Amino acid sequence: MQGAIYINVSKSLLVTRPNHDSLTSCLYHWTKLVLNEAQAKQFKTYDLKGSKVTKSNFKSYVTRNLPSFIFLNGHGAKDRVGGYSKEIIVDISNCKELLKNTIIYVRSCNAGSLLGLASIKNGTIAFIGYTNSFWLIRSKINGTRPLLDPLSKLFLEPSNLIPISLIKGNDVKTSFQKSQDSMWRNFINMSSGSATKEERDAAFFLYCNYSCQVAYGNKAAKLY
Amino acid sequence: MIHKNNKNVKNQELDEYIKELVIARINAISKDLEISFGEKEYTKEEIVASIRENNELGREFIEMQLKFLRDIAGGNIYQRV
Repeated sequence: MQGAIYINVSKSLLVTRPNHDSLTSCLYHWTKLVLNEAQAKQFKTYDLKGSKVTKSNFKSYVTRNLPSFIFLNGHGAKDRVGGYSKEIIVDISNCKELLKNTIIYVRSCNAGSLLGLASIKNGTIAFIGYTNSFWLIRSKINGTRPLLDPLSKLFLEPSNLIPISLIKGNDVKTSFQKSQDSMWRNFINMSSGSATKEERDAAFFLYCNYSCQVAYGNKAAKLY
Repeated sequence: MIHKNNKNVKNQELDEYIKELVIARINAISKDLEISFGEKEYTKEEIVASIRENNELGREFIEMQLKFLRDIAGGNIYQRV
């Protein structure tokens, strides 16, 4: 049985948030809320954003700063995660070098399938991600104001709970459960008779995210 | 041999029924939603076309819908794990 493990005395968070299309742009804005929370908790934050999310920059940030928590946003596949314009920044071949001794949250499609398991095998302390597609439903009228869209809020607030909960000192298991509980509550509300048609239509997609969210590795791990 | 052929025909009919069911559910989605995953947004029409083509997206969609419907039918969807 794995006991509690505290990752690092110095609290540090590396975030990638490319913004080369409308989906990543939405995640870009929502991820800023996580950064704000980290800064409020005196974390050292490394914000790799926009066109700077390249493989070489990511490697440089990781090897130079040794962040205790890495939060990746971007398009992904079973064995990799992309950065700006889909350049692959981490995959099975370099996860040992880049993701060792950290807690990772990957907000992208499918990476929980192979990359997650491979990274744990290669020394990542804990990995949270998704084994299938990560769906995001937005309302067309709020397209240019992602933080004001009530539909995407139903998807991204629960997702943000994972890094925010870790930042607040909770362990991986608690953080994962908080996200699951929040998605579940949203799903039930979205499926109810009092929900709007758009919420009811979107509920299925949130259920898909809920069903394929996974956590591997040492679930008792904490950032501090 | 005849039994096997009958079984294949029934499986094909079932597959077609499932496709049409999933397509009907997609067509009922509000036009005010933007559906994003992977590298782009998808319109309802694109998703329906993928299902009819039986490509990777279409197959994934059918699988997801079937899981969802099974979870509803089995009562799992309202039980927390």
